[in-house]
Amino acid sequence: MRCNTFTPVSNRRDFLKVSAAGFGGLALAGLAAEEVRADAKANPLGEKPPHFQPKARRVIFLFMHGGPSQVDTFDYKPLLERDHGKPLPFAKPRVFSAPTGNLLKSPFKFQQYGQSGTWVSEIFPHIAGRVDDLCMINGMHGSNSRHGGALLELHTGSDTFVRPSLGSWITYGLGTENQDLPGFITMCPTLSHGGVNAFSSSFLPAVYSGTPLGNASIPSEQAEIPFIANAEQQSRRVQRLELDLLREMNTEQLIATGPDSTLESRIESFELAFRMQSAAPDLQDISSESEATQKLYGLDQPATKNFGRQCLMARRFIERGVRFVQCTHSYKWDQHGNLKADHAKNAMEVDQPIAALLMDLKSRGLLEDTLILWGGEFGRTPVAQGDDGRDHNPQGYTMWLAGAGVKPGIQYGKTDDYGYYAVEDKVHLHDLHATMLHLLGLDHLKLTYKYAGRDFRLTDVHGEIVHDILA
Amino acid sequence: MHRRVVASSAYRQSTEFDPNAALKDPENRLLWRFHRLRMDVEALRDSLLAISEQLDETPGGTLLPTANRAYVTSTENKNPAIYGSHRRSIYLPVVRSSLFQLFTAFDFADPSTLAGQRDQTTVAPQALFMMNSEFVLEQSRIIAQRLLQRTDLDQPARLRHLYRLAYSRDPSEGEVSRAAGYLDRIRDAMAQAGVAESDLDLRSWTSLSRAVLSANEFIYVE
Repeated sequence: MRCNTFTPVSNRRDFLKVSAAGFGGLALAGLAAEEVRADAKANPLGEKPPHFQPKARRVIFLFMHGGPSQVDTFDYKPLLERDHGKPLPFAKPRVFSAPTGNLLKSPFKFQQYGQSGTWVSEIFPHIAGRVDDLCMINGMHGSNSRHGGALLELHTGSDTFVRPSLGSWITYGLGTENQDLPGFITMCPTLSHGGVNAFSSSFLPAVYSGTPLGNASIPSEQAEIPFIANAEQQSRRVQRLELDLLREMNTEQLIATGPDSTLESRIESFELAFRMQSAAPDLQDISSESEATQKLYGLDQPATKNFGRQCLMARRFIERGVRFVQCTHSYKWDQHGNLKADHAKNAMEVDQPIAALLMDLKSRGLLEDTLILWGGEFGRTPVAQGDDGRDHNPQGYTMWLAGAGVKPGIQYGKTDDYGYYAVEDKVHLHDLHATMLHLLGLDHLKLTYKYAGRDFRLTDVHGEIVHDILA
Repeated sequence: MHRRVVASSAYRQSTEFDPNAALKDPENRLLWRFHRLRMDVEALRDSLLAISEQLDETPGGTLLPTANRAYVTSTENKNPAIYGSHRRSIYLPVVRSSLFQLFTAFDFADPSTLAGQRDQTTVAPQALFMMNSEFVLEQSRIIAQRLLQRTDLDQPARLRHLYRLAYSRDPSEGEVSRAAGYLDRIRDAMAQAGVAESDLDLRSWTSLSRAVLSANEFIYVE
């Protein structure tokens, strides 16, 4: 027994925490949706009003772990091709990840697509067909050239300290729409380069942590909500009887010992868990999706099956009101060597699923209020490592947004002639974060949480909203 | 100082409810009763293992199978199963990049940040862990097996034994008859759900044990 816990259990903060009962809060079966909303104040995951009218209501982040090369994907550099083999005509960054040689042209062919005429490499034929939906940010830059720091910075805004992740800040700011599901889901998250730190709530209350479904070491079809399946495979009725007994015991104790919101909320948490569990098989079971849809996402092909399922699940989650979903194509894009073969292979695994997601969301009208973010923790150098590889490069790279509130079919910002440094309309990761919060109706200056004596923000003391990409 | 605190009458109170006091001081600022404590995740896990007599109290040593630093800083998506051990929770490895799922579910503080005090949330994943996990099932089943092996005990005596194990008290008559009624009901339901006749005793007692372990009375220290 601890002897130092003299904080009153029923102060306001604890009340907020315990009355949450997690995913359900006060959303008891039988309560009308309006009543649930009225109770949002007491439930940390209940829907909260944004600071202003949002364009986006939810986010899907397609994370390409390892660092896809901008000059081999979405940032076409004719001069790189021309000057192949020559030394870089300007200085390399003072801080770099590993020594590099001369300029290395892309092994892939580029072509213009869509009405926007965006150049896309041949390794993304499907996404190329959707470029008119994409808001390409070619002038991205970050601060850290190593995976761990860069991955943290992308996910939390800090490459040094562990801070709440983007998804945690967003669920903290907005709550979530479906109380029977986690508000922030991360599918098959990577276990490396910081692992849980990429989706942890850090100093925000633990309810805002991402719920991991599986991890990167298992196939996405085995990824499920922790403990959602009964180890004994009890029938629903049998389990209901057990929970009825539990409820009776708990209620009796509650009456005997007097009112206590903590006890009450724990009683409710079992009811919520039971409802989540009832909803889960439906959610995980994609057989209700038409064959055409499954094919669209590439579930019938071994190469695309894994990421395809993640993308399809992402759609199913956001359809049901999950606030933030992350899909991870884990630690594949780190081509210090074997660039040609491996980048092509990686692209093939995600190309069709991502295009399918864009198409599917659009046809369901969901792209209008869903924001999609694609990218890795950094890009790669236009100069060579060996004769078929590139080093990490946070100085200039490409990410893209699509959907709610961003201009479709544009390319924003530029890197230099060879694609090394962002030079024009630069967008730092802090700016990206500020812009994403803005699209969600949150002012990044006002979304704060007091910790260790001061108010913290996702963007710390940085972040400029990129107004030029807003629709 | 500690001695004075723990020897004080305020500290030695129970959590017993007093409607008069509650009316005057609903937040218990003046400490008219002891604050109800929820077991931390380590205590919860150890208690479950202790009741099923599975707790391995060996002191010292490490459970990390990998070489020093090899796991934490690895870039591979390896997830060595290091949490199957029945050693006390304090010996379970805390890997910053890959926290034990059970710890995460029960408010273990983020090991990468400073935390003066753990949050205490009551969320559905915790309930799911009690209802569905292999771990809780295993402990409940072992308890049930032990109780059923006591052929010298009749049903009420077994129930008394279970209550003493879990709550350190005897069940009331009402509780004994409720549990007896439950065992009948759940047996019927299980039989109907296709559980083999030979498994019914064990499965129904397992279910009862799990309910007892899942109850608030178990996880909160009065």
